[in-house]
This record gives sequence, C-alpha cells and structure tokens, in this order.
Amino acid sequence: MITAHVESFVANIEELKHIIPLHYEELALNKDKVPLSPRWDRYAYSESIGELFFVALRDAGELAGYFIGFVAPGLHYSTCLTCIQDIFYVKPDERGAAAGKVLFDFVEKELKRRGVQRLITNSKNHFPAAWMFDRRGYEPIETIHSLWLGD
Amino acid sequence: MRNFLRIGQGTDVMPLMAAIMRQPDLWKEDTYLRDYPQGPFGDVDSIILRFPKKIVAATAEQAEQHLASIDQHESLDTPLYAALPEARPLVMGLMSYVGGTRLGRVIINRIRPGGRITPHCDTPDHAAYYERHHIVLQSAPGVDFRCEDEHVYMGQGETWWFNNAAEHEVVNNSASDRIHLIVDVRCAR
Repeated sequence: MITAHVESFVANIEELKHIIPLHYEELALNKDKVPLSPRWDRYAYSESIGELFFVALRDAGELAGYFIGFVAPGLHYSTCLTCIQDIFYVKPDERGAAAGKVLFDFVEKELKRRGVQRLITNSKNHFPAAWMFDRRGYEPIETIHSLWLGD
Repeated sequence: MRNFLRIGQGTDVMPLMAAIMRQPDLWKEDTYLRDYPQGPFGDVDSIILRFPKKIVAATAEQAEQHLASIDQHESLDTPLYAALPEARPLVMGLMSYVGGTRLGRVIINRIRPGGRITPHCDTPDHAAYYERHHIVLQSAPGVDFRCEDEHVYMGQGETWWFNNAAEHEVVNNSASDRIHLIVDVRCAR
C-alpha cells in the first residue's frame, strides 16, 4: 500500500539521507562538478518558519518517495499564495503502481485545503514527468535554461 | 486545523505499554467492536476498559426501547481496567487537564500494519455529549488519521482532541501496530 502524509522534514532527515543519493544519481546533472551536499540547515530553517511543505510517500512505513515545496505569497504577487516545488521523487522500485498519482493527488488536495492558489512544478528534460502534469491539467508556463560558467 | 488539536506531548506511556505487552491475551477478551456488524473496526483489536453496559436486543425496536430506558452515556469500568492499573493515571490526568466532569468510554485500540478504520462518523448523540481524546501509546510514520479533509500524524506520547462527529478514518501504512488509548470526557463548557 502506498500512502502520502504531511510530515516533518527535520524528523525525516536520516531517512532522506538514504534516498536523496538515489535521486541524485538518477536525475542530477553535472555530477562530476556538483556533488550532492544538501543544506539541511536551510531546509530546517524553512520548516521552522512554516514555509517548507514536505509530503512523505510511504509503503509499509518505509519512505518510498517525497514532495518538497516552499509555500509563501509570491515575491511579485503578494496576494497569491504559491507553492513552488523544490524536488519530488518516487523510488524506482515503487513506480508503476500509481505512486506518482497518490503523491500529487495528496499534494494538490492538501495545498488547496491550506489556501494555496498556485502550484508550480517542474521536471527534468532528460527524465520528463511532463506527461503526468499534462494529464493532471497543468499548463507548461516557463522553460529554465542552465549554463555552466566554470570551476 | 478545525478537527484536531494536540493538547499534550511527552506523556510517559511506557508503563502502560509494558503492561499491555506482558498480557497479550487481553486483546482477545472482548471483540465487541471488531465484530460489530458492518462496523468500521474489522482490522482493530480492542481492550475495553470502560463502556456502557452491553445488551443483546432481538430487534431494532427492542434496542431503541432499551436505549430510551437507560442513561446511554453511563459507562462502567470493565474487569480489564483492573488488569491495567497503569491506564488510570493517564485517564485521570487527562480528566483533570481538560476539566472533565464525567468519564465515558475508555478503550485501547490496536490497528495492525496495513489495517484501517474505514470512514465513519461516531453516533451523533454520543459525539455531542462527550469529547473524544486519543493518547498515543505506539505509532510510526505511515499512520494517517483523517477527519474530513484534514490529516494528522499523532506521535507516541502525544494527546489529541478530535472531532469524532465528523467523518474520519485511519490508515496504518506503517510497519508497526498503531495503539491508542481513547478516552471520552464530558467537559464543562
């Protein structure tokens, strides 16, 4: 059984330390130049001021995936409570059983309950999840570009 | 949150948990809730410490007549309460903390890993009369308690009030039993 839960990010750091490296290996770019080194203290601070939104996906108690976002009024749109996705992930062995649907069904419902008006998500071009967002009614609104400027 | 309120944390529940672990047969003494026809508690074991006197009525009419002839809010200690004296300070401490004027049902519920309490509302008369509290004896991430559109995780040693008149359900998607001490308290309002 896969279920989604709002949980404390800080309380999950030890479990995340086992999964985030999988996420990094599978999806990160420029790994030879950009090692995985999460700023756990910055996440903890965001949680302490109520901005961090962490949803854990669980299978028989084990962390099977997650959604991390930041919730705040938009910097340019102070009247629009916005959730900007940081990252989301479903472990490879948990895919294929609608885990992504369970995760985003819960994320959207819980954010709506909290009064969030806009949810902004993203996915990697080399590992796209756009098909899922298209299916859920999201609109593509922006393209992000990256340029490596040197060591 | 409108349906949940965490009113305490850090309660030492280990004396009661240890007493329960030492007496596993207590879970088999009373299967009233688990066996309740079409009830939501098919995945739940209970140790019923206080409960209204149970009767067996042959018809719905007889059951209604019985309820009309008694104070349906009166609960009595069961013999199992004597087997778990470690529960009493938790119950009476809560009574004192919330300004209780009458003690109702006191039940320890256990939901197995993968088990659930299906969506339901508690009996309106009962939910209107008593305030429902949960003292968490054992839980683990993966347990979800939903009431209407709100979800909470209740950690071990925490005490929560919740609105049992509204539709609620529990899913235990953890690897451990979820064990709660449930205490109904009539409060001065």
